[in-house]
Amino acid sequence: VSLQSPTSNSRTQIRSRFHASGLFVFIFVAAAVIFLNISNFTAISKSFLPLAPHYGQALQYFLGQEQNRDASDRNWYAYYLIEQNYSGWTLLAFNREIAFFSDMYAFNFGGIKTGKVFSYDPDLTAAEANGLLSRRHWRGEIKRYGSLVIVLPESDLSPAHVIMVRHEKTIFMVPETYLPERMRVAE
Amino acid sequence: MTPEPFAIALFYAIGWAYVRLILTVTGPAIATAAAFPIGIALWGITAALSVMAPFHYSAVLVTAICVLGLAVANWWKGVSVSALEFRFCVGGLVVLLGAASIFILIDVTSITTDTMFVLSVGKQIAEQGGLTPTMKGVLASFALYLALIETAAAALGLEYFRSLLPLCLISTLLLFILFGCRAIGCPETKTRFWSALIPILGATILATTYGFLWHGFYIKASPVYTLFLFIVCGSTYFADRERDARWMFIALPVGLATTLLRMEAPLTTLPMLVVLMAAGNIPRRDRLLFVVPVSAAFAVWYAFLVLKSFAHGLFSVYELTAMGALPSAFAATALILTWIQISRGARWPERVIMAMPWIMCAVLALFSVAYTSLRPETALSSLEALYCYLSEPKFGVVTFWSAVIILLLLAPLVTRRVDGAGIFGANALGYILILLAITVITPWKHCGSGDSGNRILTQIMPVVLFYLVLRYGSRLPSYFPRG
Repeated sequence: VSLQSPTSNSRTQIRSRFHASGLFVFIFVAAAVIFLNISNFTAISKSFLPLAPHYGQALQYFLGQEQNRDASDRNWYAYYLIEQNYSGWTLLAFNREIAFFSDMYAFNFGGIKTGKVFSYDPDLTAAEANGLLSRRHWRGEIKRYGSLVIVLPESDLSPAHVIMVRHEKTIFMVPETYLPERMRVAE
Repeated sequence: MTPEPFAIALFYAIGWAYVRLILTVTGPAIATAAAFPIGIALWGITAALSVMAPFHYSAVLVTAICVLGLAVANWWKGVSVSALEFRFCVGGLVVLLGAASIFILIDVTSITTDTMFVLSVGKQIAEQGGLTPTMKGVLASFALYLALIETAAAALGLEYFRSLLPLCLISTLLLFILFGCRAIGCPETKTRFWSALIPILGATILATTYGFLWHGFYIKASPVYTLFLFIVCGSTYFADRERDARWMFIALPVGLATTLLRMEAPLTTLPMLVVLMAAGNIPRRDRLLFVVPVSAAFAVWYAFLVLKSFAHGLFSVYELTAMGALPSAFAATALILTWIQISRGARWPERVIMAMPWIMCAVLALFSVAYTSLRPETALSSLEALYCYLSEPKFGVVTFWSAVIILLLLAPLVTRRVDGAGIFGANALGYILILLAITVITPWKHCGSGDSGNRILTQIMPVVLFYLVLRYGSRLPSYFPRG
């Protein structure tokens, strides 16, 4: 025997009917969302393309693109060159900042084995700088340095020290053996 | 012939060797779907331990440790393989490899500069046998999980796993449906179609939401974190509802692996720990057996990061220390309250533990309001950027969040309270409030899908939606007869 009054009983029934309609509300809202999502899909996906440079072998494409060789692309080509040429080398830098490509990221992302920062005279003469520029190299504009020159080692050089030196507003990254005798750093 | 399917099969086998120990709890369908996520979680944890150890890191050694450990566990605790288990195991492997082959064949991954940092570190760990001093910048800037798992790719001569993250996305959707069916009760009712429809619709909403889908193909740890977060919430829910603490065996490896998945993970994982601790139907000892190891893992890993990255990278020493210590502070509080309860027989500590999710939400909401009123310039511009991301149709999340708001507003009118749904609700609310707190203090927040705060928001989408699935699906109308 129910102890509830007829009024409260009918109220419970009404509430129960409302609760029962939840399933249909969900189906209706879900169907609307799915329809809107699918109908807008193509328009949205286009706007994402700048973030996703290529669908298909993205990494290879990203590294190999000519357009990624300047500072506007965070110097990814420089990292790529370092990975190709300086993997396993030890980087020597005259201050901490110089060992970084940007404020937050270390040079090491290119595959440098280890980095050491200590005080030495990093300044090249104009003739020495020109001498280095006559070797196989890559030059890129980097906001914090001005200009970065990566002198590429010959294939017969085994990993050793790669040293950061400078001439005016240009920073050079050079295998130690390519530097004049006076600049070879004794650890 | 790429060796990637071999690695995917290996992760699956590792996961299966683990889940088969609790097969009677989860059932074969959920075990099959959870095997791959648990495999990559176990592999990631072992890789993190190896990178901390003072010997030469090797992906082969990591795999050998996983295989050996699970072989011993199966020999000790495992039961013999049944025909049903074998069918599910092989069937799951075939489906997994089929999906992996599609993603390997049609490379749909997208990368950004952040991806490059992470992949480069993975490659170097593999080549140089561990962390080197010049990795300091990345250790305090990016979570290491993806770099660690990609060491396996490097060991196999691959640039990176093309199918790993899309498979995590698929696993999330699959587990969403399976958890939904189990929670609503698909196998037991005569209304199987109707009760299965709700979780399937939920998974379809996720699969068609561009902002969510895109993260499954973006080479960052987002889809893994999304998956792991959902598994922990689901396991907590079932452990609580079915009063079976063995579900925590599913939650533990993925819970531990969350330590490696985001730099802010100690903050974003905190709601998960708090809610689990407040799940009263799980024995207190078992709750602590989850909360204490996960909190300790955070403390140890962040201490390691501080030592290895000292004063380099995006996060300062203070930030890393504070974040790493936060889960431990919570675990210590839980332990002290439990000790008081046991030693003095008092009831109030348990009440405090039960109220903790709501205390946490209130504190976070207060913090966001207070910070916004104290520093409105920073906070309001960041909140504006968040609103811009949520409301701009081009980012592909506006329909999802609009639907969530509509369903949340209607829920009190057209649904009844559901036991245990609060586990998902409190997790989602705590997580979103933590995100708001991070947003108001972050001056560099921007309106875009690549912004880390916006990515954090994407990770909670399945948990939010599952709460609504439980609310709307758990009580079918009376004119659908139940069996």
